[in-house]
Amino acid sequence: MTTLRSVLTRHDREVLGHLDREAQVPVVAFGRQGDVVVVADSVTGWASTQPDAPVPPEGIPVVRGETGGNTHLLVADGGARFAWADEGTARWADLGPFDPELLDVGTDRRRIGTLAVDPGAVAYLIHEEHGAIGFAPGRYAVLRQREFDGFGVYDVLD
Amino acid sequence: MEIDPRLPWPVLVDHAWESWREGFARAWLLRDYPVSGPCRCVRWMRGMSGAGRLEHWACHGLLSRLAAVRSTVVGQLERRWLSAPVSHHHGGPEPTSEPEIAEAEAVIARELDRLDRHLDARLLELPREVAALTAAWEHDEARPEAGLTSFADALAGIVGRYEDEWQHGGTAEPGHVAARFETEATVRRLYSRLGQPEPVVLWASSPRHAETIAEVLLDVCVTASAGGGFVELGLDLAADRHRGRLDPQTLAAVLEVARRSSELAEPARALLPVDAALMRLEAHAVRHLAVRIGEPEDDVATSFWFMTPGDDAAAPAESRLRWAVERELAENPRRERQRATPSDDGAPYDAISALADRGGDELPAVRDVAALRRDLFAWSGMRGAVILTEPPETVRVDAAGRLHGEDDFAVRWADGWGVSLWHGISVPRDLVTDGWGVSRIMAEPNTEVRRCAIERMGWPEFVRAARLRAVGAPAPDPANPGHHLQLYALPPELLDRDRVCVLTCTNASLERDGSRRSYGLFVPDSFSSPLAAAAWTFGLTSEQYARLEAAT
Repeated sequence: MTTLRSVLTRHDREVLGHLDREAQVPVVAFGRQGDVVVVADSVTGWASTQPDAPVPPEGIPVVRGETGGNTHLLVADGGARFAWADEGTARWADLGPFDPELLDVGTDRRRIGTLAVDPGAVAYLIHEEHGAIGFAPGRYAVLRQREFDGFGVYDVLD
Repeated sequence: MEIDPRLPWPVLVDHAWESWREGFARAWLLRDYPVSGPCRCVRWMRGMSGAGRLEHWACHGLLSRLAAVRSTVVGQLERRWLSAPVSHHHGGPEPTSEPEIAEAEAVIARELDRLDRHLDARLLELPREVAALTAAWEHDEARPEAGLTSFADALAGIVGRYEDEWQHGGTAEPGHVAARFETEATVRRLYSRLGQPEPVVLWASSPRHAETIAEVLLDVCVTASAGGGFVELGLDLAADRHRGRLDPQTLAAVLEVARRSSELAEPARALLPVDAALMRLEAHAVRHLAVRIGEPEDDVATSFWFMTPGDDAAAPAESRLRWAVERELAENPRRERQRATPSDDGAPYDAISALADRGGDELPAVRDVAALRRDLFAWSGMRGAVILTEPPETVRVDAAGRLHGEDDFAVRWADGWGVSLWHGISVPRDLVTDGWGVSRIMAEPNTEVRRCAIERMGWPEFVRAARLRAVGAPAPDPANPGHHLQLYALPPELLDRDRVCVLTCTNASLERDGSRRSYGLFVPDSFSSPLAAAAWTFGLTSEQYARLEAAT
């Protein structure tokens, strides 16, 4: 286990002052950070394609707030790879008209991308309001929360 | 005011003073300064005598350096001055001797040169102070004895003090004044490029102010042109009618527009928009740009007319803001005024500037238009006048970049007027300041506004207060111990939406103030339990979502 302070120091990041820097950062196979879920294939039984682009030292903003306030940043201690989901499958739900068939659970998730954490490594998702959450070695789907307002399906805007 | 040249000297001086001061005030209010050079002033000086003339000269000379703009108003006064016969010894003050005049001229010229170097700052305060000096001097019994040199000394004193302040970082805020000045220069340049006469510039501190100015302007111009030959009478009546609605400066400027327009064959033309000329110019610019940058004219025109900003988020925000302002003006005639804290605002019109940049220096008018669009909230160009609306002082957005004021105006202008938006939706002000109760929410006919009011109250509170029907039993929120997910059916008429439920959740992270934020999410009505609905929001099954290990 590691503290929020050490994760932030290692990756040169800051979060809001009221978050407890000494709190332990959980390392899990299935975690939620606000409106983003990172879930291992071992939990879902999915077979995600192996991503090949290494997570760079400066991290990857898997969700970027317009004003920078709601950015979920992916960083890694050790080897980790990330691939953005295909735009075609990831974006369909953004502003699409209502189609009852698309509401079938399991077929219309809003996938942001795929993450692979190498053996011995840990990937972290850092958010200024939510702190950090760690992910153990494995292959993951990174999912965005969505809403249905009666007309269409939209990303939740935190 | 007309001066009767047959009047004796003391009366003439008084009249002249009044007339000059009126001209001064008007010129100043209109930011419309004469450009007569020192030579001409010196010629007057030699042709005239008496302290009154000197004061006129000194201030006039000062003004002439404050901006390179010709003033019709003051120009007319000048002509009257020059045509008025001068009587030297009619009980008026003794003339100052020639060497004294030469000496004082030299001092004043030097001081005015020093002023020139500092014109970017303190544009407002300085002439006021000089005007006060001349006014004091006017009433000074010892004036004739003190002569020209004491006035020059006093002027030198004022200039010296301002110079010190400028050099040592004065306390005034010249940025605002300088910015206005620059914008006015841009407007004049643009009008000149459009082949239009210089407009009277009317500054509006907010869109509400701009609207009032436009209303008064229309009424005053109609009155002035409807009065037959009695233009001044009509203007006086119109001025009385509108005195409470506009500040004296703006009202004086509006009257000036009407006065000028009354001299036209068709006075109403003064209020015709310059858009036609502008559109021709822009169309030309578009063609020019298209050729230069080798892109299809239609594409260039699209980015030009719609001003596609570099930042995708800014465009909808911008149009939503303008829509909100329209709505506010239409629905809420008067708002309580409050002071605001300053804040900076992004410039959404980078693209048009970028286009102008790519077009090079051959499109100066496009550059002018881009500058106006960037620096102002709005500008309404008419043939005789231009209304320039200041940008807002405060603009607040949410994390998604939508205009959003949690408990007050999202966008606020310096005069206290503003518009309220909730996550980009235009709403009545009391919705954000006070929050609405359930009965007020249900009375709101607009369902979008109703939704905003519910969000302002908080979905968990609303579902309780409105006694919405729960779907399934409350379920523990996975990995968020102590908190529950609850699902409620929404009556279709509530938000005018079918087949929708609301899922109430509690944040897993604490807010800054130690509280925990609750919120509602819309989900399809096909779930029988809150957990299944929550799982759906991530595209998971309830069995999968129940295994969530950590939530923050």
